[in-house]
Amino acid sequence: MDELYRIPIRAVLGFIVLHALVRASGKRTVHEGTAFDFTLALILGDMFDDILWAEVPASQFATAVAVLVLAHTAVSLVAYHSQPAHRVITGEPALVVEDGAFVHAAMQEERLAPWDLDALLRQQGVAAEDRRQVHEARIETSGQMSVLKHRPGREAQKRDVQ
Amino acid sequence: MRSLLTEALILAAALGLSAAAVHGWHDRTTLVPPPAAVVEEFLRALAAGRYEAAREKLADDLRHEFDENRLRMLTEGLQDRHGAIRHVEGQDRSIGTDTAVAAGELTFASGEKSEVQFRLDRHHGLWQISDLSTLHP
Repeated sequence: MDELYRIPIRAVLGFIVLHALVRASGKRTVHEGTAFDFTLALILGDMFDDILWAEVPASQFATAVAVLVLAHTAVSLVAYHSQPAHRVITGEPALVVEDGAFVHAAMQEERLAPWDLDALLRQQGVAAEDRRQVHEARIETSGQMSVLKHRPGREAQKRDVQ
Repeated sequence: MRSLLTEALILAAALGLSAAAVHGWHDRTTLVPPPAAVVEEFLRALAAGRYEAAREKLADDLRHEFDENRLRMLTEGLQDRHGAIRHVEGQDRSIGTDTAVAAGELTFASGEKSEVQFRLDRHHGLWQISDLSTLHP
């Protein structure tokens, strides 16, 4: 029964430390935008039970969490200042549809079957028969799809009548 | 850069609070693993064959005396007598200022249960097992 009052204390203190650090690290950690951010969120979530069940001293928990968040912030700063570093850390979006046509090389790279791609396009409000309206569709580094449609009323081009 | 500084300050504050609680207010069970948790982790490590991890729970002089091989022999002796360890649960028996007694209730594969008590001492705010004589036959 003694242990019951200690658990809430550890839970609250652990939560305060974790929340403060995640808050300080910025919005991208919370959004889990890329594999890089998601990895940090996963690790932090797994570490929380170490303090909850007193498997490690609170000082070790705080140190481990803080070092991870500090490393994440430092790497994010490097990625912010260096585009090559950004590419290595977060990857690049994959162009999977261009002017209505599937880009099969990119689809293979992303292991995206045509029916999966059609499903993603539908989620973006693009039916299969309207795919020609799509100028570019990308799988972003967050794993989500972005769609840029042709601007309405653009000048006719040769490929439109081919 | 401001984020890095803020995070470092949060870490410093957390470490300061932990140090104050453990060394200033003599917290012995909340922000540090209580004796029962230390004993439980020790016995679980032995049962899983993680002898190096088990040694981390021992006081310094005991750690010098018991290397991995000796802990392995101790564990194998225990399991030869009772069978494989299936479950471990730690319980505090008494907690003083710098000494404590905690018990580990072992459940073996045969269903047999046995309790082993350990004496622990507090070193630098953390509980460490200071006597393994109860594991000997």
